[in-house]
Amino acid sequence: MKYEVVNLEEKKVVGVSARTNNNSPEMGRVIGGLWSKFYQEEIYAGIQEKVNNKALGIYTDYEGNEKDDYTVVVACEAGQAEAVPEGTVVKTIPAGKYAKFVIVGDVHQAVADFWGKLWQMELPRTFVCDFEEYQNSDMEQAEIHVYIGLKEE
Amino acid sequence: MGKMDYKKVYKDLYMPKTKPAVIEVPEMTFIMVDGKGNPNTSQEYKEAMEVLYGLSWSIKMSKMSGMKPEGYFEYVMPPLEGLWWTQGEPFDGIHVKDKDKFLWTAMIRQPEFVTQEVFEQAKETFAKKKPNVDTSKARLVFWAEGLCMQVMHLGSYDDEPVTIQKLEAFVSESGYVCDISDDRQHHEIYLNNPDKTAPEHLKTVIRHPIRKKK
Repeated sequence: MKYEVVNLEEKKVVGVSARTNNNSPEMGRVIGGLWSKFYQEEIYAGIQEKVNNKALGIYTDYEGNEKDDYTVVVACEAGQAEAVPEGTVVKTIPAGKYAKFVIVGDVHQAVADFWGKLWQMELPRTFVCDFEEYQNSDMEQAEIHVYIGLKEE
Repeated sequence: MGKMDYKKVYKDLYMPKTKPAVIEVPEMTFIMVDGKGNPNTSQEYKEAMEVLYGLSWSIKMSKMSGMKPEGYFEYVMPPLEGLWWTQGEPFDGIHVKDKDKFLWTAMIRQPEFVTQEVFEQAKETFAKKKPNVDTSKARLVFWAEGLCMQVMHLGSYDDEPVTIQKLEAFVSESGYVCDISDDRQHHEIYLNNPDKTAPEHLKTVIRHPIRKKK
């Protein structure tokens, strides 16, 4: 897969989170549940000072690598994130170097294929924070930018 | 030490035979520019060439600027390459109907010492020399193309379909299937400058992504 290397500024995000594991049979349900909660329980609508209307799927606080437990956060980037809706968390996407991938296609299939291929790649990953940034709400022709945290040289 | 010439050092990548062969293409660094339209006539393609060659040349000449990148070595600029597809349907290189409908990525490989910082520096240098050329479409991209089948095409670009059909026949005979997708496209490497070479003497590497047949 083609990627660029970009330096990102720190981002503050507000959203809903849960802990899971890629080997867990519950993983799909846990992540799917967060997305439903985010949109259906007025979480998205309640977030103040949204920087844009792009949803983020964030994978952070890895216990070790992609085989271990991690926290998934479904969120939006928000300004000061002072008053937040009930049941939400405030997280920080750390500044630093990221590999940026652009994927296009059916939202579920393209994202699943992406992670399958990423696990085959030998990137110097930090396993601190990775995230998906959804550019539109078209489910069949979704454009998603995925940022994978990279170690500084 | 002599100049690094990628075409000569990596003969497996750049000098295939006229008989198709399987290759695993490792990660490389490219400057890429995406665009659309007929490469023979569109202004967009012309501008892409100007940006690609301009930035590649700035990087090659960066040794003269007092901003020599860490790890710099002398090299021959690698050849122009192109990825080709069409909107909505995967392009197999065979059924060429309307060249105006082409979507493409034009690209030139860069030496291993080229980082995002070296690339940004080259953009600045180039912008000073040619302030009217827009470099915003150029990206520095890392890409491991992976498992492919490739062949050398001799002659005019318009005669490629016959070579591609031969390539595709080899793909299926060897137990593979063509794996063209949004990320892995029909790929050509141009070993000559078509403005300076007679069509019958053109050499072009044609590469298709493949995967094992299940």
